[in-house]
Amino acid sequence: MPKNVLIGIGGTGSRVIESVVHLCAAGLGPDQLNIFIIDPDEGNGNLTRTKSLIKRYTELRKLYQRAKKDNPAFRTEIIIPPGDEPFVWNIFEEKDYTLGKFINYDNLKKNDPSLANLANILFTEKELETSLNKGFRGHPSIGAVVMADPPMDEYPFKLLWDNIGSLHANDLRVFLVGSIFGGTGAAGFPTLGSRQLIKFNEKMQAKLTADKSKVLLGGALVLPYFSFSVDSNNTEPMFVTPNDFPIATKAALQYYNDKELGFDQYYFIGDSLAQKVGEFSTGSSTQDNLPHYVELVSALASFDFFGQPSIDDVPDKKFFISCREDDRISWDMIPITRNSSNLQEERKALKEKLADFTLFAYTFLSYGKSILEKSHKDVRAEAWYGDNFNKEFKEDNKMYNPRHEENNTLYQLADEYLNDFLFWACAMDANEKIQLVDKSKILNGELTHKGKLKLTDPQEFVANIGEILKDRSNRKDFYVFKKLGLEESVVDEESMTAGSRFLNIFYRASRKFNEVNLVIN
Amino acid sequence: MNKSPVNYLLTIALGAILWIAFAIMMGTYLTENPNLAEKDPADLAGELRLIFGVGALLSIISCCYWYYYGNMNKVSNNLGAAKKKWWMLFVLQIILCVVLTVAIVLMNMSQGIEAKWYAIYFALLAVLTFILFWICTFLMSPRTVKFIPLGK
Repeated sequence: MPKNVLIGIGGTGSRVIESVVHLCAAGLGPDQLNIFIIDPDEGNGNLTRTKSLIKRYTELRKLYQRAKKDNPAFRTEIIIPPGDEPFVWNIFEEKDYTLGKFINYDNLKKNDPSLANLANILFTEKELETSLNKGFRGHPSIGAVVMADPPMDEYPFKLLWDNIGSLHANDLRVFLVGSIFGGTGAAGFPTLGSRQLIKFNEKMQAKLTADKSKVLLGGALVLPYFSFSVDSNNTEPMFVTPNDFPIATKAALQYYNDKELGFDQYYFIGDSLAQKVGEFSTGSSTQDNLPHYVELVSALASFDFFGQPSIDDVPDKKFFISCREDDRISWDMIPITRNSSNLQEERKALKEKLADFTLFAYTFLSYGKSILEKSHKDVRAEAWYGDNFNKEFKEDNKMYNPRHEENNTLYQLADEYLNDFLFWACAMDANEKIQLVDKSKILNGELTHKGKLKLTDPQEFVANIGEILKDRSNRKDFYVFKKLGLEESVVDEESMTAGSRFLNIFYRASRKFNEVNLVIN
Repeated sequence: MNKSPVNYLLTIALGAILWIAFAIMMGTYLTENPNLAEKDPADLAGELRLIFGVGALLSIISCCYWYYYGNMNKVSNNLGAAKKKWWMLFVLQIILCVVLTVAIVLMNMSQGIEAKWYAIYFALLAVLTFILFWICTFLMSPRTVKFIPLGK
């Protein structure tokens, strides 16, 4: 069985992993997925968001018993380095590290002036002296130097090589994702993609013959796709703005064209809508951008890579490029697979599963939680609730009482994770050209970055539930959700806690509702 | 049993069976055993058929209305109102039972019928009105309101 490893590089890499995690939650990911991130900017808001998201995903997955027959949510086992081992390679061990410090520039000047002069030719004084705590600030040449020799026998890289001995040719599927136009991604992508570092790493037993390896290396190069506001009073020493993106991209693409890298398959993904994802930031916690549909597409590219059939021989080089038919993004335009005969089926599955999970998140966080806040006596008359909990209700037993205190941890984790999911889904709805999820039907007010989302009450706005996707629907309302969804969803798996049953009821109801509401060709 | 039109048909059938049993099959027993001063037992039987029929018919109508109401989409969002509605219909059936018993008493005041027979008429009317309503709604309420009837 192939082993899948996804490596996110830099801020864009983190954001794509955020999308990967949400797609896995919706049931679209592979069975197992190893993930780690490379980012020197440890406090980066995007990175922090993704780290806590993975933690929530794994904790919720552990606690949430899913109905075996019809709940694909959280099916992917996301594997990260064990225990306290680092999930992120921060590159630098100390704070305020500079390139000068990394190459020991002061010593070079004294002991090896010719080498110091070479450094002076390659790097400006500012590049040598600027602190790299917030990443490489759009200067990939710095990153390429410091990332050239990662510690392969330590976590998180060790995650790559665990069980390498039992793998066959091309069985270790490694997918790198990062931006081509920034700093960390642009530096890390070609560096880690070089032939000797991962693809044909002899020391780690990746290499089989001169042109055959255990590693199948793929990557999504994310071309410029977003924009942000730049503060004219900014006093940072080095930084990148959206104006720098085209020239940086052109230079990088020329490099990839000329260089013989180790990649077997590339995905080039970009967008010209230049959607604004936040305010300018050189890095750190303030670099906390809104999710973007290109990250969803990049995440799907990784699933396409991991889902391809086994290759026994030397793989052919492949390049995948996709573009929009017009200036809109709709469900039937999302590039999802290399296999054109499966395209419609896979798009259908994507739309169904994301719609099911979005509805599940929305209905649980709004109506579901309101039911849990009431006492058993007050809600026992609800048919769907009564069918599931009235008969065997036992106040002091977590298997039969959904309000038992031992079920609260599950609800808390579900609350946090589903809130993150809805934030992600709604944030992609940035303007009228993005025809995926309609945030106005879900949110009561504006999308806020921090804290819990304020959701519309489906019992009050009964029609919203049938229109949460910006696509054709049969416009069914909340009454139908209760009648054909909740009331038809009896979950009676004996080994399941009442808390898990409660969540499964809402997931199943969402599926049943979408079966009658969505128009899927 | 709680699917339409099965619940409607079963309710009508049950109401009709009870009426036939009480007003037709038990008619002779209910009219020939009480002491009647002047009235012909056949006349009393006619009155009982009519009154039992009114009770059963109104009870069937109440059940059918409950099924219709319970199937309405908006009800699922307001079970509090549904509960009030059920209790209102149930109490109305009790009142109907009392009123119809009083009607039998008033129509036969001069006949000297023993009190125990009025108690029996009341009991039979109870079966045909609020007990029929309770049994039918207990067993055959639409899914949305199935836990509303008393005792569910």
